[in-house]
Amino acid sequence: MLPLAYLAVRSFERGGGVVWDVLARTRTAELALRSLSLAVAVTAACLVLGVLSAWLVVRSDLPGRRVFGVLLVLPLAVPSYVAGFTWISVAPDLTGFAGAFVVLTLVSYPYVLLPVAAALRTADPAVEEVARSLGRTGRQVFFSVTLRQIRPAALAGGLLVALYVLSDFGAVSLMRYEAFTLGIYTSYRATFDRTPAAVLGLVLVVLAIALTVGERRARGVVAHRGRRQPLTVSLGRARMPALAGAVSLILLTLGVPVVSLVWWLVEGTSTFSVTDVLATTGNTVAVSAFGALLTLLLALPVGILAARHQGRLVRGVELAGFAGHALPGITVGLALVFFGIRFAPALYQTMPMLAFAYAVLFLPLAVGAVRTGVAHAPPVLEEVSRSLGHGRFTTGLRVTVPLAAPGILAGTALVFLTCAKELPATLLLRPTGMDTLATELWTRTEVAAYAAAAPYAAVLLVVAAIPAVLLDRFLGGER
Amino acid sequence: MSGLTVKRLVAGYGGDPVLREVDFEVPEGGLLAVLGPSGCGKTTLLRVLAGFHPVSSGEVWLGGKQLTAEVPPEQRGIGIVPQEGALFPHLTVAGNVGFGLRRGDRAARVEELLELVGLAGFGARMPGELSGGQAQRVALARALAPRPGVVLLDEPFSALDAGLREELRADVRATLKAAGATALLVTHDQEEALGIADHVVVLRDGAVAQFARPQTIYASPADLGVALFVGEAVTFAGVARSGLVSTPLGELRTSGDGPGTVLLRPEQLIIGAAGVPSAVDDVLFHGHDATVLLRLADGTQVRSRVQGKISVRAGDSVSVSVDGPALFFGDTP
Repeated sequence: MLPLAYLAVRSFERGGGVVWDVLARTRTAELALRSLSLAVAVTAACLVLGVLSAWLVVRSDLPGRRVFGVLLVLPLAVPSYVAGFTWISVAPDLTGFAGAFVVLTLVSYPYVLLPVAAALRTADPAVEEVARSLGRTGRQVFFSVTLRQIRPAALAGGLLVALYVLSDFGAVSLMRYEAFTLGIYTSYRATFDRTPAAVLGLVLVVLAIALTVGERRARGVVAHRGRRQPLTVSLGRARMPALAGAVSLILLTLGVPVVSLVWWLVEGTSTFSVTDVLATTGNTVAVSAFGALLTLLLALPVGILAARHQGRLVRGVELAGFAGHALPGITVGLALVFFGIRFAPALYQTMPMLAFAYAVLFLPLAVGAVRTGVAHAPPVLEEVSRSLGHGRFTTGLRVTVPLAAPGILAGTALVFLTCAKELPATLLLRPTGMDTLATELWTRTEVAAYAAAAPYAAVLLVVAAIPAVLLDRFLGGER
Repeated sequence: MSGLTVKRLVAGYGGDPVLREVDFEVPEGGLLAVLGPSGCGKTTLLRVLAGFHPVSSGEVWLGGKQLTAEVPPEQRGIGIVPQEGALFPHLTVAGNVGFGLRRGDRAARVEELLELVGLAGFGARMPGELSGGQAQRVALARALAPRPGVVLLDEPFSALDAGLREELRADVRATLKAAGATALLVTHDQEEALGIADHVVVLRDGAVAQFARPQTIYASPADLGVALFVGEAVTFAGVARSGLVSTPLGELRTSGDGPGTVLLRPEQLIIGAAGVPSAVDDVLFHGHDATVLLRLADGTQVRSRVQGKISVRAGDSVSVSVDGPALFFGDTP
């Protein structure tokens, strides 16, 4: 929170007049309008794609729906700038709004698919059966009952998409769509007067928070849990079109990146040096490991508290989880730049500073993981162990740690991989001369050196695919 | 092993105490049930005894040793069987049972206990592969393994089906007796408490309403509240005078004097040739017995518990008489 508060201080340092000037510029309104219209369009598209695909995977008799269940979630793992790179390198004309829209929709619809699929799995099938027995047709039941059951999940997913789009830097910068984040970056790079950048960063945070609050209001009551397997609906004649739709979605989301990457890799073998890629990968691993460890250290006490104590703190942590998604990397990066220059010049553009930025960005993710992990070791088990003659220490060693560790480790791994993919904060805060996979890819794509960028994109794609597989296994375990 | 004594125990969470001057004792090898509705302080009592919750005042003695606040849970020699078992999910059944044992004779003792709870050969299974009843047996074996001074069971049967519950109740009693263990079981189910224990403490609003044998609790409840809590009842308002009280069922023998409540158990209402006339409203068949809902001349409805073959049907006119004396609880002025 501290860096953000400082961002606010920095914005108003030169008086409210300057802030007002920046806000009143037509450019600011333009940027906001561009970001918001992109967010609305992408969210709408994702809601349709996400709900349809979730329904197909969970409730229909689509052939091979288990495989589709995994493949349709995978795009979540593709960083938007990697997707942006692969699209722009095969279709250089696809830029601006259309390009950003296509890329962001294709990488973020799983944010809707995942919660909706989970809601469909846990919704009580008896409710639908009752509706049928009261004379509604299958189609009517879908609109009057099923959609209502999944509404909270769909809205939550939609919120994540909207926040993702608002804070996305990679795709919009590669697609040269002047959205808010890109505006901030340009303004920061272009002039020595950094107040406008700070003000714009704040506006972005306000937009994100407003979205979060609005979604909480609109969400409504969460559906009850059913104990039975969800009902399966026969697709009938719609089976083949549905299958074709699912296949083409996967071709667009996964096929394009992979094919494009392979093509550039084969095409441009001579233009990159393996040592460079390895050195960059090393950098990425080092800084991400540092960031993940720091995040874990900060998350442990909060997560344990949240898991063991009910009430206000837990709600706070849940809200912070959303706030975490709402904090754009560019704003956190910017806040730390200002904060670093002023208070810790020795740390500015060093690894610890970057690691700290990661910690600020991904703390909610790590807290969630710690909380889930610790929840696997409920206090009653510790009490049983104590009553069997083991002290606090032995109990921790023999009961709490073995039960909580897998979840916490998986969470840390997730943070590590998320750090490795992070672009905007890394761009702003990385030590001079140190490149990570993400920044190399971005720099090279900026100058249209697609062949040179391809190997970095390939490594990133592999790094990124790992948490998606993890995520699916975790969700699978809860079924 | 030896008995557990609780003297004037007070405990709470700040504000009004949850346990107020609780007194009882469990003799060595005895089985005590603590019976009370939810929120009466049962769970707090268990947590205090096990050392997970501080005592405000009062004493807990186990086997001639006082368990003060300085004695941590691991040194109390008190085993616990939590609700739904709470087996360690990462350990096998044998690992669970052996958790509180030293390495030396662990394997032999684990075998012995699994045999005792009827699960010999289950040692290699994981908790996830057990049924609810089996998990409870393992949890009991785990608690008994280190030969604790007393075992605390927290609503051990509440998550089970009715049939299984009865079977497991008998098994648990047999197991505890076979192990010579002193045990304390808390429950909100009066049938369970009366059926399993040697002695029963009825806990109400954190205070002991009655501490007696099950038969005594049922036949001579300390007050109307206990009487209504431990079983079905038929009640009338009435005025007792020289051992008699007048009710819609006629003059009944009773004790006490003055205005108050007359209480009969449904099994005391006998349908037969003699007695006051009444109409059968409905018959609720339970299998082993049945409840007959009777409408008396003045319009009040009473319940009669009938064993064996049921010969009446709704709409019949019957006569009903009362077997044995009625309980009488004078109004508190």
